[in-house]
Amino acid sequence: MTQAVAVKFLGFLEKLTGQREITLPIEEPATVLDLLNLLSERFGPRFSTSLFRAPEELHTYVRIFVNEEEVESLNRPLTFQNGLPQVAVFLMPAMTGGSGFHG
Amino acid sequence: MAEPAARSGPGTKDCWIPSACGMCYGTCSILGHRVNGTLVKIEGNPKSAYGMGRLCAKGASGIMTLYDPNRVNVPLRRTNPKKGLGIDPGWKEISWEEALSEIAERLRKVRQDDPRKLFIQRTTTNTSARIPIQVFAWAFGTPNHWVAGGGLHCGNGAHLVGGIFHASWSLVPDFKYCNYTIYFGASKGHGAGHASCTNIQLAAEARERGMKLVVVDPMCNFASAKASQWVPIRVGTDGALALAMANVIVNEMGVYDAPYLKQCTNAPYLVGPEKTYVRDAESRKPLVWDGTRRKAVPYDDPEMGDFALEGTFEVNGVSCRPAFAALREHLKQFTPSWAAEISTVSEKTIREMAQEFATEARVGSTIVIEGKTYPYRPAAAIYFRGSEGHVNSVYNCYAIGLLNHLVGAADVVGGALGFNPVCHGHPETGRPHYVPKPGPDGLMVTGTWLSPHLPYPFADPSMPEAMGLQELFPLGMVSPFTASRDQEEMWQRFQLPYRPEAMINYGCNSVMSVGNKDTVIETLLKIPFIVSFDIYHTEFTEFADIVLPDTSYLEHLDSRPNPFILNLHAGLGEWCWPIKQPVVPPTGERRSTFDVLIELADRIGIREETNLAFNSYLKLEAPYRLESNKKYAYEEICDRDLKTLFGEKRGLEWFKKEGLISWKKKPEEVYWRYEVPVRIPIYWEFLKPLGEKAGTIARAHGMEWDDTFYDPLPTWKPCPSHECHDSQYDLYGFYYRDTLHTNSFTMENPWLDEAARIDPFSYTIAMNKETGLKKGLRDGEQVWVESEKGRKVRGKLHLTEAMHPEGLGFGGCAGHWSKKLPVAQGKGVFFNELLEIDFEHSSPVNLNLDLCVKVRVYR
Repeated sequence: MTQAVAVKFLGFLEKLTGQREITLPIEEPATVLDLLNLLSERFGPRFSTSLFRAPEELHTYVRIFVNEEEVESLNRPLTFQNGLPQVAVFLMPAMTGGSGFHG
Repeated sequence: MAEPAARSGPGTKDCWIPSACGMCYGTCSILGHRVNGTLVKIEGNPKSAYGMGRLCAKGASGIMTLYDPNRVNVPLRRTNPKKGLGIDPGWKEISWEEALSEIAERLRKVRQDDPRKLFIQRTTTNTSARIPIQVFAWAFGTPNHWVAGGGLHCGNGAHLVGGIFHASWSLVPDFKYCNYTIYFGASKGHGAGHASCTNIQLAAEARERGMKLVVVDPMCNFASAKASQWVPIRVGTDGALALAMANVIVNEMGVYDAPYLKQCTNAPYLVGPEKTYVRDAESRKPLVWDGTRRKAVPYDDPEMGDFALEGTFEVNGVSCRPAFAALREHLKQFTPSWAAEISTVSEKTIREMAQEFATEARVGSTIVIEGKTYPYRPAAAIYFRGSEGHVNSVYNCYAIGLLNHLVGAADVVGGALGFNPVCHGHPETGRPHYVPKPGPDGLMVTGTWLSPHLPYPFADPSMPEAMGLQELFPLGMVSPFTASRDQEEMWQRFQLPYRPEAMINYGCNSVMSVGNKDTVIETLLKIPFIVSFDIYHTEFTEFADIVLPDTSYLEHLDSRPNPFILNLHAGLGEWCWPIKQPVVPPTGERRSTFDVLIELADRIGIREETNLAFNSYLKLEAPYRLESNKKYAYEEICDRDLKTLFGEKRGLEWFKKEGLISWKKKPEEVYWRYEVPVRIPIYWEFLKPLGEKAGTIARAHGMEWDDTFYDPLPTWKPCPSHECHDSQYDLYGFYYRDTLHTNSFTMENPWLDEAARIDPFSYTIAMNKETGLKKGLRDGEQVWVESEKGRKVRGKLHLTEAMHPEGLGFGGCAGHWSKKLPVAQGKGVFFNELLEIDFEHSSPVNLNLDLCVKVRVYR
């Protein structure tokens, strides 16, 4: 079944995608990783390499929030029972070439 | 110290208020004595592990910074559009509303255009600024954020290697149990720095207990003067000495801790002729040789018998050997006679140091602590700025760090300890909680870190888009290209798609703190709009367009001024979480920068980003998590931070009264090395592919690239100063951190100035007495010091026996010229003026600036 998800691009991603917010269709069931892969297809390799350090592995300076709660696992399912999921993708740019902040 | 008898709550007329010092990044806990609204005295807080009631001269003098009559008290707008050294900005007082409106409008436009055009700079001195400023940068969307001289001078190497080897910002000997320690260009426990006041006490107790302290340093100053042995060394050659010691230990003495190397490092990983790991064809995991089953298996094979550390094997058609065997062979070239010629430390001394270190490490011994048996290795080698501030920064720290790992003296009883890499949290809440974990190839990833840069794993080098080009230098942290001579050349070379349009400065005087002023000023003049949050005018504020009156550390709030891996002492003792709070309310129109940044974020339209970034950074949890659409004062964010960490009852009000919370460290947190399944690299295989990838990009853009800095095993490489062969320039100029001052910041403090004028070294240029006499120079006379590049400074000469014959030592970052700093003006010598800021004088691996310079001295 096709559902809709609202995505916000925060930090430098707003500039990189040229948009702050989009709504896009996604096939249920879907995980956060499915959504990011979908976004990567739509916005191209630069978007993808900004998010992923390796396949299915985010740079540690990337933060994903679903309904304002930070996501720990990319395998987290997107749930649609309570209305449109609001996903925020946030790039917290490292001031260096290293992998980013955590902790 | 007088015991404060009338200690009472913050609301009374005569009270002692617990807070945190901000005169250096040590951030010791303090008690401020306030009488009728006036701060009359500052003492150390005896309840806190940060200082343990002790306070240095800087901390006690903070009162004079608070009440400095030259403080900025109102927002100021520049009226003179022309900028330059010595040009009067024509300051005009404006309202906060005018200031914020103008700044928000400019920043909104910059952000709409390209957020990377905002460049943010902050001081390292005030640790409280780290989180709110990083949050603002993230929310804005700019990667261009630095700490000026911080990192370039003192951390790109030491903190990187601290993170890779110890999951911590820094390292110290385990003062409680260590019996023999070597300091390479470090002064932990004897001067300024991380956990300074606590370490001073712990180091004193260790020396009294009988710990032998050997200090390798061109100058016999703070640590060396209290040492059992001072080893004068030619500036910038520490790495050569460490490599020769390692050679003596493993090849001449045959001493190493095999069980440690097998379990806790990548020593058994098989390395092929290309210097890279031999990997399992399917899992791509590095292979090791199982001596029991006589076959190669992945390093984490659950059936593992005995890891081989030596030998040559044929695996997958490739001849290979364990990384340890490659290291051992590699070290043979670094003979004591080779190192003696480079470092001027005699072969005899090198062998003695190596033998004493390896013998005192007592490989194989154990000790029982609280009923549990731990490895006991009471020897430690540590490093800091003196050894890391060179183009060879990475290899210097790597080589010194290896000494500990070869004998298994890392994060075990008596050895070299990281500052609290493991924390299981407060007993009631389990927070904060962090433990290192295995990353790619099983190598250690830190459990927590201070900046948006993890020491490991590394991102692949890519075309740079940050002003500092850091994407090309994954091991770098702070980059010189944000203020370098070759900045524009580099930006053009790599087609940087923007130029900085606006700058926010927080309390940083980068005109003095990076290198020579002309180069820095040239880069500042390119930035059309500069806002500076300051407590007083500095040489930097002359270039600002708007100056905002900041609160001092005695006037603002912070819920986490003391990150455990930064400035809580290592070793057994207490965990301690203090807050910083105002001991007096701000006067004039001063406002806390942290609240002003939140206000600016709101006006720019990045409230949602700001709140989510705070949630993420502070790990705020429901019900204390910030709602994305609600505006919060910084005080409320601090309250939510504390409640997330310590529970509903221990919010900001509780902390304002109590000042701090403490609980006991567990031995398994402190001596965690065998408790946590991570490995550290004694063989830096990752360097080779990084160097190749970065080199490919660099060469494609016309940049010269030296692959030899990216070899998996350490070597010694000369500094530019060592390659100056003009005999006129016969001395190595360097600076050292003065215990009386923090960088350039405290020079305006009259009490510290008075003490520094009495001190024979603080404001002078120290030269070996015999060297000076041979040159016909006299103690106390004014001399010129000129670099081979023709940069000159003038100052008072101090002839001393406490200096290597080729060394020339300068105290701190002095020599202010601003008329707005009447106490500091003209005091001491501006050493950084002699430093070049460009790629040639930077590490091609981690971008550390080279801090030694070949000079001549004349009248």
